[in-house]
Amino acid sequence: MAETARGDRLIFSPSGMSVSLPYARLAEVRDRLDAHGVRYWVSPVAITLGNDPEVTFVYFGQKEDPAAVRQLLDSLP
Amino acid sequence: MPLADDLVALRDSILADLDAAHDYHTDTLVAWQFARAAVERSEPLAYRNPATGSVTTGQGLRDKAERYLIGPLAASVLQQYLSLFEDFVLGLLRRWLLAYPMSIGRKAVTAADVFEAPDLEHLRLAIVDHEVRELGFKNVADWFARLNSLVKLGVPTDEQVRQLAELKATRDIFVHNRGVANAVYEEKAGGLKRFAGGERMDLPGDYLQTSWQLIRQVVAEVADAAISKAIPPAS
Repeated sequence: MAETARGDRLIFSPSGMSVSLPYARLAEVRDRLDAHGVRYWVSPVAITLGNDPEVTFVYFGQKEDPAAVRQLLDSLP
Repeated sequence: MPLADDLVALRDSILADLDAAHDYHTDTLVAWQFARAAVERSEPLAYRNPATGSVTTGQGLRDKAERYLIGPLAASVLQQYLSLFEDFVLGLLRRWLLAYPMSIGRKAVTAADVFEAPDLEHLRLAIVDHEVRELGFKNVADWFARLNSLVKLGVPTDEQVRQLAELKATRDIFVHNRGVANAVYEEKAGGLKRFAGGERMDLPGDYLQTSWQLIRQVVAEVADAAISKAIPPAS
């Protein structure tokens, strides 16, 4: 995998209502959200910029608490 | 044009426009996600809207990318899907009534309508248009009840009609009530309501995808059933 500024990080939007992540990490993110009953939807596409790995986006339901969701995902290894 | 051919043309144009609307949604989603990903890569970016004077920086664009996708873009796409659905159902009814005007049954016509019509064909058009316009103000279940009273199609299912009613009620809330559910939404959506009155509604991507699939399926099934009934038996 190409070395980039992104690495394999999850990057939350300022509102906390969505997160961008490497596509390779989508399965573990979904597993964590499903396990905690978080409502979300995943972008139907993954995009590539430069030599970065494919990126996709997860959007959280508006009734979710962004801080709580972030805490859940921050604790991923 | 024979009715069956006319219905094939209607079906094909509505399905093509539904696909184009879906492509528009996906392409726009991708464009905004590219913008967001570029900002997250620290690509420098700033632009000014000369009309309003608003200056948007990379960080600002990133915020807007999220807000626009889950807000105005989703609402406009849902409206496109529903407009096409309405065009289809009311267009089918109009074509059927024009082909079989006697199925309108007893209908009061004003003297002015009769005297102003240059010929019988214009009068027939006016009566059918009036009938379809009146039906347009009724609910989805009434549309299909009327259609099935004209020609027994057996589609859509009651569950599909309920789902379409919820969709249309959602669309109405975004058009008329700035996305906040109310009692009218609750009544129209019935048991499938997703929000209570006073709650701000959202349009998740999976809801839009399901809506598109539902409308596409109903258009195809209803059109195919009507086409099969419109083809005269071989002599």
